Amino acid sequence: MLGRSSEFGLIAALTATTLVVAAASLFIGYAPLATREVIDGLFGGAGTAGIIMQDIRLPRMILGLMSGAALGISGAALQGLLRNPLAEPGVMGIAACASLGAVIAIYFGLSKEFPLALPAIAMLGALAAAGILSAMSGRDNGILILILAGVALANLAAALMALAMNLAPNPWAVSEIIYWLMGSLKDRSMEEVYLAAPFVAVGLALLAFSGRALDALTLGDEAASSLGIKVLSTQRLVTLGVALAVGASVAVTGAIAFVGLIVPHLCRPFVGHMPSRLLWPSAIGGALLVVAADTAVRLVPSGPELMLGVFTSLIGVPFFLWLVFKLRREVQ
Amino acid sequence: MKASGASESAQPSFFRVFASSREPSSQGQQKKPTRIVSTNVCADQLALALVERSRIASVSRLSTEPQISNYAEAAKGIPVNNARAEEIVELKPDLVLGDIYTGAHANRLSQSLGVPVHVIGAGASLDDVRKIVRGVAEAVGEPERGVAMIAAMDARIARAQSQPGAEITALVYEPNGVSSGNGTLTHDVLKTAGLKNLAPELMPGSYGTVPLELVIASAPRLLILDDAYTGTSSRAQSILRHPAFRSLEGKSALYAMPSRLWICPGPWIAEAVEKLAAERARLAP
Repeated sequence: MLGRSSEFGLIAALTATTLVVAAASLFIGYAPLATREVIDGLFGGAGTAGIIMQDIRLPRMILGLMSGAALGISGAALQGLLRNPLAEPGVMGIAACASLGAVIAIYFGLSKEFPLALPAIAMLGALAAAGILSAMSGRDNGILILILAGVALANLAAALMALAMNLAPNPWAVSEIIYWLMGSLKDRSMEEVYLAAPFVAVGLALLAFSGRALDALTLGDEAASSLGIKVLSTQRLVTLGVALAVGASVAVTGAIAFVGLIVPHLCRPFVGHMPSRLLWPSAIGGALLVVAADTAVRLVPSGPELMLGVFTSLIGVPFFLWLVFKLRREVQ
Repeated sequence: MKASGASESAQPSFFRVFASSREPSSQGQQKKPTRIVSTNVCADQLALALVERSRIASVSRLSTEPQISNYAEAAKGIPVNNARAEEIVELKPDLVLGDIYTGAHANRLSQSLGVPVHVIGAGASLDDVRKIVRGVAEAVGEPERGVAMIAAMDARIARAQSQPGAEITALVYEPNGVSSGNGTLTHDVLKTAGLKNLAPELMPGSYGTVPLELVIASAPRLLILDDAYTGTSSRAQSILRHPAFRSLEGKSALYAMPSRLWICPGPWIAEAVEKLAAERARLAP
């Protein structure tokens, strides 16, 4: 069996790689800045380079790390909680409800009057989803019920977003909604970082705290209960943690799909199947994946920048299919 | 003619993308249409500008939107349509004005019933605008009004161009950084007003997005916001709410262009040229 040391080894390796990639991402952008300008600009330089580094590239990198960590750890926690390798924040409807909140803000023009209304309402959407999921996961806490409720929420949110685009008052509103739904870290600012960071931090803490309970749950609900784990409160803890972390990051980046699905699977071969050992590696791996993908979209000569959410979906869907095929082989 | 895809119709520059102006309909020159049905907001405005209101049987739903239509007031009271085939046929038109996308089915059906259909494009240049105006004027049986309209438009443009002052750099910046480059009506309007459009240097293609980094680094003298939300004053702030725009203070001037002046091809384009030429005259060294 894989031991604790492999977990720490993985964390160390991932952290080192993430730091290197994150630093490299600062050097890659559209304005042709020399290495010197990048470094001066980053550390208090005034002028154009300073603005580009401090107000555009640095927040972009931080948001990438933050949202990646939120998505990665949420995927790992949900896969542990639901004992289902296909679980991820998208499946639970939490990301979709956050998106719906953002769409509502754009549709009613609230984001024009109060720019911060968009992320704020998106987070409310995620919390509402978490509330509904918690209420659904009543006393006879069936995992299946939770998944089905999540799927229903995700579809309801998708239907309402389509409705908003259908009834949109003008083509500009539609275009803004579509842009937002594609998910991107493009042209974000520190304002967004400050807005999302506290919620992501609390979410991450709640999820990290759930590790031991998730380990017990791998033995089944009854066995976990006999070990003194409160199954229902674990469900609620994880759901709230995911809502805070994912809701806050979706609120500022739009929908970045499949990160929560892919990352835990990539980490699992290194740390084994204990959910608790998967949580931090998935958080760091998620941060690495998103920052790397966000750097890649700036390098791909695609004309208009490839939207990050589109890019991760293009990687994620084949991965998802491969996963399904692999599962089928294992079942047979 | 610019090819266009469904993806582009998602952009704010929506209406400027249509691009095929069909030959003037082959109906008789004597009989002027008296039940004109327009299914496109650009055609609506040209019809309202060229013929008596009583001859227009219906206009599109967007025609009364003041952000898009210069004839929003004039269009009030005229029955509106949604470019659905059935409702268009029901209106018993003797001329259908439309575009190649929204009313495609209605256009086909009308044509098969023997109703002349005139399709307008969006226009990728001022020359296209003149062709489109001429085409609609002929289709509605008012060619001389069309000629007069173009002459008046050209006179206004020439007067605007005669203002002194050197060329200045400019960039159109719509939400999400969307801008217009070579081969767009916007680009031609900028050029005609004596502005050097920076978009072709900052992004590939005709329509696309300019990264904020490059907006900051290139610091256009005039940053033109496409103001689709005239009336809601906080619009401009929300486009420019990124703190990096602070660095343009003192370098770039802002101008909010009402979208209705250049989203559709028509004589109102002259006003867009005038407004930008006035900005240039004010800012030029």
